[in-house]
Amino acid sequence: MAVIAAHGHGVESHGAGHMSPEKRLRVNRVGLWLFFFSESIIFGLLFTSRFFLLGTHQEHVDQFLGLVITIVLLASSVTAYTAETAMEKGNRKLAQWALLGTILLGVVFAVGVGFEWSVAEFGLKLSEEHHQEPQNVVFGTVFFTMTGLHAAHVVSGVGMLVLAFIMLSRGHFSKESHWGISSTIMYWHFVDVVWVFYYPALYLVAG
Amino acid sequence: MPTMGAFQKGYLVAVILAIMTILEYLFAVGVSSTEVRFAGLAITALAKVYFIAYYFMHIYRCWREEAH
Repeated sequence: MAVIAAHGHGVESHGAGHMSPEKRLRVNRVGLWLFFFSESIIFGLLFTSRFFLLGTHQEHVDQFLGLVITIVLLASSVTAYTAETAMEKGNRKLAQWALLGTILLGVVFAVGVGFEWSVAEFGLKLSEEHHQEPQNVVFGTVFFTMTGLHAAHVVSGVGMLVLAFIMLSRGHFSKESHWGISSTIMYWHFVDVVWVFYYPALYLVAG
Repeated sequence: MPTMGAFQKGYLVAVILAIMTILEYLFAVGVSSTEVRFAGLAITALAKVYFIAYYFMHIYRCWREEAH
């Protein structure tokens, strides 16, 4: 958030005043990628634990819903890309509309995940009335943890996109200086990258 | 894709990703061998991540001196 605010107002951060704008931008990019790397470790550990605990075993999940929300998230990456490219070309109006589209698609994805949770045939604890076995609960734990952590990132990404949209609407950012928008969109693409691995691991691996 | 405009390049990548996602789904429900399915899904996921990281996240800009 601080990154968005600082660059939106053209304020230089402490200690970076001696850097050229190009060099500062490059340092920002590398810093963001290091952040993605640290996030990847958390997501990767959950991904690994899914196969360590269950192998390729999978409970029944709604395949159609999984495919639909995956396509929705992919579509949101396209609108996010459009927003960033529009800013690079100085087309603020298109950037605003594309950001709005990304926000709406992000909300649709989050609602889709919430719906999947509500109809899931597995839980987090054993229930005799649902004839659950320990393996159901293990899958439920893995499924809710993985999709829950990812959904938390989707929701925080939507929050940052809303902030970027509001600031863009109020005249912040320019063709030359829009790191706040670029970094938010890169974060959004990262959320998409995580789902590229999570979707087959949770929905497709058992066929 | 050096001669394409930025928008066209992004949309072409999006179409490729959409086709890969649908093929991934059809592959997963159509292949009976677990090992083959796992390998196919892993290769598809890595290919998709390459496209997103390179064309959407512009990872190459980390080691290239350039403004926006």
